[in-house]
Amino acid sequence: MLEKAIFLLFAVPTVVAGVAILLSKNIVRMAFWLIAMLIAVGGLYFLMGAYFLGVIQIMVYVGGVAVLLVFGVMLTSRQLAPKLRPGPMETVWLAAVSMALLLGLVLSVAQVRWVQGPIASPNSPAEIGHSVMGDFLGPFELASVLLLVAMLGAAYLARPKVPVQSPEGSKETTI
Amino acid sequence: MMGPMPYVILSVLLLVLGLAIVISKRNAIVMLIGVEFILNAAALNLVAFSRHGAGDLSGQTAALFVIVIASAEAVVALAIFLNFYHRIATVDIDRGDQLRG
Amino acid sequence: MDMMPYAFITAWLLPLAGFVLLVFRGRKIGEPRSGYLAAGLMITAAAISLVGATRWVFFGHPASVEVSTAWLRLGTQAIHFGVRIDSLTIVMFTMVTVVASCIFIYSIGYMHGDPRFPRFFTYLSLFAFSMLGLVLSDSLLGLFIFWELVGLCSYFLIGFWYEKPAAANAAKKAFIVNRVGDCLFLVGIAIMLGATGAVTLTGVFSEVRQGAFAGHETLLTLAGICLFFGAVGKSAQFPLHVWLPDAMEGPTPVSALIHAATMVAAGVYLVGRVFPILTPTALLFIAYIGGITLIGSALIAVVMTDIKRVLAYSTISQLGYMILALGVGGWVAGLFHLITHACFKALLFLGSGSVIHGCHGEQDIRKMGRLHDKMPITSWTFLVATAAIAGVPFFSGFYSKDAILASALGFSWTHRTHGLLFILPALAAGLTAFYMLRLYLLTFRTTARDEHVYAHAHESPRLMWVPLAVLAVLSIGIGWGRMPEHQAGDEAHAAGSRGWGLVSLIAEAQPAWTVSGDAGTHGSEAASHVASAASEASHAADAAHGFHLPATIVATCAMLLGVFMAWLVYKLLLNKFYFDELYRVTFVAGVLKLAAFGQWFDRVILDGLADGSARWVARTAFFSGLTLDNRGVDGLVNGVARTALAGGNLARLGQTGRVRNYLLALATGGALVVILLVWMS
Repeated sequence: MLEKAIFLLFAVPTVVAGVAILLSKNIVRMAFWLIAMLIAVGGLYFLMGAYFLGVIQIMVYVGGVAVLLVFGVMLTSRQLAPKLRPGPMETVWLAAVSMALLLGLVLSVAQVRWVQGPIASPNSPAEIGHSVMGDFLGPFELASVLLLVAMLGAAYLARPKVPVQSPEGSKETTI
Repeated sequence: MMGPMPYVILSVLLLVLGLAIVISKRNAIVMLIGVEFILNAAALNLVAFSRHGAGDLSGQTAALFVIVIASAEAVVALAIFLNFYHRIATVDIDRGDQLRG
Repeated sequence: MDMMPYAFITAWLLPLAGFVLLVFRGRKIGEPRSGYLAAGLMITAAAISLVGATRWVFFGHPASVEVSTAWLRLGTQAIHFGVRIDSLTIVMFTMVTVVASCIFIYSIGYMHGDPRFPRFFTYLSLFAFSMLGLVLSDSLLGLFIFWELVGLCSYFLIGFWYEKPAAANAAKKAFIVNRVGDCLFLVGIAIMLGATGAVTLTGVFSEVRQGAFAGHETLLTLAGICLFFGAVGKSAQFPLHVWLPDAMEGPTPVSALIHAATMVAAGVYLVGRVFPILTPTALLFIAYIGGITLIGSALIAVVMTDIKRVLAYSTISQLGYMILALGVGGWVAGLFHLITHACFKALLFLGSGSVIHGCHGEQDIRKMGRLHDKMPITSWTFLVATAAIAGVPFFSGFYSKDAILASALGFSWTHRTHGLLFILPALAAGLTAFYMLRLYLLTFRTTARDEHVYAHAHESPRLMWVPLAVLAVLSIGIGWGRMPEHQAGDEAHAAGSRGWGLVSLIAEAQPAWTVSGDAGTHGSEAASHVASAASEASHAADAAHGFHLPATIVATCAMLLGVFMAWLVYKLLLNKFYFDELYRVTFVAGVLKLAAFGQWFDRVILDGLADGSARWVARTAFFSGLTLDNRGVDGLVNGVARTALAGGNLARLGQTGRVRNYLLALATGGALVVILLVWMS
């Protein structure tokens, strides 16, 4: 019972955050809803006994990725274009597709007869470390290369090279 | 004792919400937010099955990799969008329909 | 014998080492040295494979050697990645390394002075590695991976001079056209994986043999045709042949190596490899595609004026021969022709490259002529290759083409309704001799039609003509040999009938069991008319023995006729010897006779008819003019145009270039799939 209550405590905010982002118009507010969602998912990890993962989720995601996104919002917030909304036809179509996808997936999930395996006991970071350096050594090395490449690539890409063209196309300034 | 079912349903919800955000928002950075939703939906699934199905740590480790890849993706995508912004001074993703550099 | 696979793996990895070195240090290594490095590694690989092949032939060997390791595990299935060596692998591997060595050396001379010289050898090395991997691979998946890699290298190399828009476009075209075939190839692999749960060739064969497709013969046929379409794209067969002539925009050594000798032959190799699972219907389909291709492209080759394009169409035509041979069950004949063709076509391309090099980039044969005086070595080697491709006796092409025609004749003999499958290649044999001799005469003999080109032409450096000489020797001698008279296991297996030479080595690798051979004897459910009929002929290779003599006679006659015609038209007529005489005999006398006949025809027949028909014409003219023309014909023409325009506009609607719209389409598709899955469960 208590487990169910805690699950709801975390699950409801994630969905609310999603809906709020869909309906909201303010970008900064959207970013904060994202942070709320990430923290709630982190809470769900704690609930499932994945403590290490929960901590990582909050540290990397909330501390890193979300803040990065907020920075991105601020860097590009000099919003010159008018309201960026999709057309009405697209909205209707999207709603229909989303509902169909949701319905189909929920139905297919509901059809599955779950076989309860052994419940994994809460684990220590040491076990995760063994897993990463053991079975997942190959992916781990790949991930490190990926991070390096992403870092270099981002540094290269973000370097301003071309003069900025204002939307009127009249005056050119170099950032 | 709850099975993995509620987690999977929640993950479906997150997936559809993320997809809707990615498609409906024309602001490039908000699209990234939608992608984060989708990635979290996947990771939630992995952890839930790791706890209730497999009974070992492989799902959690995979979720760890999801976080790694999500951060890498966010960094690169942001860099691309900043470049895009520098070039045509907007974050409206629909303006990027030239299919050329 | 245990060392065998590892020796070949070593030889396989040498070009990769060259690629890695050149990718990182290419610019530093510099112009001549990077070429020597790549060529040296390639020659080493060729030496290893030659030693291995010698050991394989003379010291006895098992049917096949396999080395594999689990690559990735999907659920309970493990996908293996491995190497399989049998006689066909040995032959192909040696052919690729030897031809590649010649072409690497040649390229050092040909690409001299190019600003991206090291880059060229980087790509060539990568290509050699991928091609050898394709030959060695033991599974459909491995084949596919290297299949894509060679396609990628081909893209790089066709577009090597990407400053030329024509080259860049040709590269794109080649890549995209190949994707069509590869897509179906992938579908074929997926069907195989789904039905048999295996991707290794031996695994797939044994599963199919144990009846993985029992009751689903149509699916097996479909899978075979899908796999064949991979070959259609890569080997430039009839519907997807359009990319190969354009691919001649690449440097000539590339045309020789990739678009004549090795990569395009990979399609034939693939069909040869999956031959056991091809059903009789699929084989018939394959045979007709080959037949259409070989006659169509031979006809086009007759009128081409660009030296490389003639050779390109001739390549398509020869590939059509191989495909046809496989389709009629001449497994050995098709793959034998593959090897001989690789030698003489590489020689032809290198010779044309030498001509282009010597004429400073001129490719139009109408502007050449009498180059024999200026570049004798190129001319002689080119003549050897021409003789080989035309099928002059004692040259290699003669033996392989003869084997193909014998198989085709054997097939047509047993199935009279498919007589076309013999007539087409026999006709094309004459055409081949005609257009090749035309090419030779216009280029090297006759008169010099462009004084400027002639004056500046020169023989190529030694680095370029030595490979030509090597290939010329191969073009003559590689076909010598004798088929083993009877397949192993035959009752009449006699000790004295063992074959020798290349052809018997290939015959050793011939699959012992095939679906098409099985369908007839077992009389399975799919014993439709075509199935049972074609199955007998899958042993056409055995049956072909009786047809060798007539096939040889037909082929030689066709060849002689082609040679004679070419000689007549290009040597005598164009030089205006006997021109007036011939003119008088054929045209003037003929026209006079025709005129007399026409007069008679006019007076007797037409006048009678005219009176009767005039009345009828007057009546129908009213109807046809008013209704048929204005409504019917005009409407049809305009309608076609309008439909095309509307279709184009409709297709354009989807291509907005906006990421979000594409994503929405993707999501719609995903939702449909999910709903379909829920519906079906």
